Amino acid sequence: MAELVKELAVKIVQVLGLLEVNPAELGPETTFFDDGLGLDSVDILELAVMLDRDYGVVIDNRDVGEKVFVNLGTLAEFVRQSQAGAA
Amino acid sequence: MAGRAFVTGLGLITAAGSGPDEHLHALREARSCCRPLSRLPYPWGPPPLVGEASPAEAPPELPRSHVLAWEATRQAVAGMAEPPQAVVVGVTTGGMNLTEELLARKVSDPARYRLHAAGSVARYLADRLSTTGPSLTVSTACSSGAAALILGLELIRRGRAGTVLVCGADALCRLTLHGFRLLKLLDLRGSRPLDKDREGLTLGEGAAALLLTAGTTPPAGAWAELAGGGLSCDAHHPVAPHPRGFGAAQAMRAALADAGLASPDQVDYLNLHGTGTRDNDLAEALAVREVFGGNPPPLSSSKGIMGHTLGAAGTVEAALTILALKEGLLPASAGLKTPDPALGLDPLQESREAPVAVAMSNSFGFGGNNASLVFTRPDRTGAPERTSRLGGLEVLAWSALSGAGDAAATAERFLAGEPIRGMVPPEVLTRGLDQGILRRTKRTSQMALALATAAVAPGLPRPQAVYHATVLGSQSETQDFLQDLLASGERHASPIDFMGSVHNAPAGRVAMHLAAPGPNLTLTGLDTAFEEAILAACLTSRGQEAPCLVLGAEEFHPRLTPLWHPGAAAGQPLEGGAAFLARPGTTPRGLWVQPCCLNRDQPQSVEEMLEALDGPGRVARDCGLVLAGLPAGELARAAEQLDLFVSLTRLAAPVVNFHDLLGQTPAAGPLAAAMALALLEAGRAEAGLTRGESVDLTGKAILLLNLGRRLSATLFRRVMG
Repeated sequence: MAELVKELAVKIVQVLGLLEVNPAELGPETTFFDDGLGLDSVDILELAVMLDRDYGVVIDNRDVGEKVFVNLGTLAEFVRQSQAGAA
Repeated sequence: MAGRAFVTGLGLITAAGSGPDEHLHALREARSCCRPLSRLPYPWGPPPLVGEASPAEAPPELPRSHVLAWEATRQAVAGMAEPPQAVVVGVTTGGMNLTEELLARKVSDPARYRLHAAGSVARYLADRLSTTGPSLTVSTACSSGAAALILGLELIRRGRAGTVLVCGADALCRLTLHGFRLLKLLDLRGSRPLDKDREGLTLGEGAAALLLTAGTTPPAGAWAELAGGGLSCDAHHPVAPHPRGFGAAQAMRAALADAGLASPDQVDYLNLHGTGTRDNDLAEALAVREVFGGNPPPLSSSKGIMGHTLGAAGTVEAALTILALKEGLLPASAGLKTPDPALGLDPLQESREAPVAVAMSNSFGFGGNNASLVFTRPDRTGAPERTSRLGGLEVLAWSALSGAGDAAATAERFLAGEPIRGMVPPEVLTRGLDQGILRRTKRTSQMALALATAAVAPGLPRPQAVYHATVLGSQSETQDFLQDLLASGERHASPIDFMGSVHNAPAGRVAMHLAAPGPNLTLTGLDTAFEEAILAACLTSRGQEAPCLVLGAEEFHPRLTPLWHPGAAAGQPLEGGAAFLARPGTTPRGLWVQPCCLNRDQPQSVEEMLEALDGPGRVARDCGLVLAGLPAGELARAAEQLDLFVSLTRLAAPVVNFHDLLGQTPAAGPLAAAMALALLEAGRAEAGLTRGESVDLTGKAILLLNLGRRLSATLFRRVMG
């Protein structure tokens, strides 16, 4: 899981062009909005594309999205479970 | 010619059919005409429901927007003895559906892309109609068609045309289909506007054309009067509406006031923008309740019938609103089962007959670009006439960017007669822009922001309105989006790129940056886009003299620009643009810019241009210098026009072909206009520039001409006192 969190952190910083963020400083508790990464709903849509492209994981409704995009930990857990379910 | 605009011709084609009768039937039935997508590949998942149109003839070499636009136009002008005097087109994707095919097949012949640009639709219509007067193209995303009608209305009020053909058109293409999919704005099962279970919009395609005719009394057979229009900008977010419908309410209020209605209660029917997305319908409902109070008129959305036809929607729904008015029909909201109580509206659930004397139509777009229209029965009494003459712009400050650098660096080279080439240096492009903006924008938007920031220096009045000219739009985003999409089998691409790819994204960004709540129009004509933006600013200022920003930003994309612009393949690339912070008015003062002529080439076009400039004698007396644009692809004709111009005026002033210094890429247009201002400020044209004697410009005007298939004339002068 820690590996996946680290990998996701790097991808998020790269996909969204967060030049001022050092991915090494992000952890499972890092939140996506407000005081965390300060992202908005459009960033989340961009990340949804990344999840589909790089992990084959699709988030197709708002309710699931709200549970998944809480912090890096919840996202990593969702990716892990989805991949396990698909395997 | 006089100040009321009557609708004397009407044509439309959508998934609901072709022509007014089929659409009236569809309105009465209020049934969805959307079917599973068949025209575009959709390699994964069941194809979404869309509203595909079925034009009678669709020659494969023509982009579909052009086909649809002509189908609607042909209906609207049937029986006319003379061609319309002006054409205004609202469109977002232009020839994109054909371009996508060509790019996928890696076709590299620029001739195949000649109908790519959004502005090519207006040129195509004007050529087929033999229209000789102005033609304008406006791209404000989903409000394009309504914004086009407001420009048409103002051309009539300002006496610039007696008849105007206004057409909104958009065809389904991959860019919009997948862009909306990736923004998760599509309801794949068919949209349900205003419903409590609505999940998004359904895409459609189509076109509508309205023929506007000037008059003081209604001509026989008039369908309606276009009584007023209102424009506004949310200045809030690139794609999401203002959550309280701030801009939507502003546009509706402006339209009601413009139509001279004493009270909103006079509106008998309101055709909503009503897309079916959760956010739009909620914001629009709040705005409607704010404008109309607790008792809004009967209202419905038509998008459940034929889908959301994007750039066409404003004109399509204007046409439907006119049908409701003419037939006395209050059409039901298609797709609606259970009205969302959160909206606090009582939408029409059954179509019914009732007299409709005044009706309103709303259109809102990405970039927070809003437009509302008011139509009345043609025989309404007490309708105000708003005839006034076309004014000009007093430039308070200006900026420029080019391969040479900022305004000072650009002017230094130009005034010395040295060619300017290349890309805008990165540190100049991104100066003053914070990281939050930079990570969401690419070249054209960054250039527009840099130009706006430089023109609106601290201490200067803030612009309320923004007019942006762009011939090819945000090519970097378009290229990146389409490349990712095609490479992934039509699955993945960046939604942020899609947001940035729409033509009006830069203007929306500028409005957010400057908090500009007024009209926000993006003009996408061909070589005369910047002149169209100047004209649009003068047309829509409504005599309020609030400052506006007129800007032109044109990136050079190494792959797309040479394919999409006929001049770009020849010679060296140049990108850049210019911005004018200006006060519209009718009394010349300060650094004064006067749009005089924007016509199509025809046998008398040079003579007509001279007439618009108050005659050849006046030109010879007033002009100290002519900056003339002779486009590479139309050189022979342009040179002929210039010779005739010089001989008719017996011009002694030097003529500089600005393309010699600025190349043939789209950036040459706004840069030439900025260089006219630089010359006025310098007060001299040196020998290096004129290739002859140096010229004292004190008390003289500079005439900026575009020649070739489309002629424009704009006068720049300093007014003393």
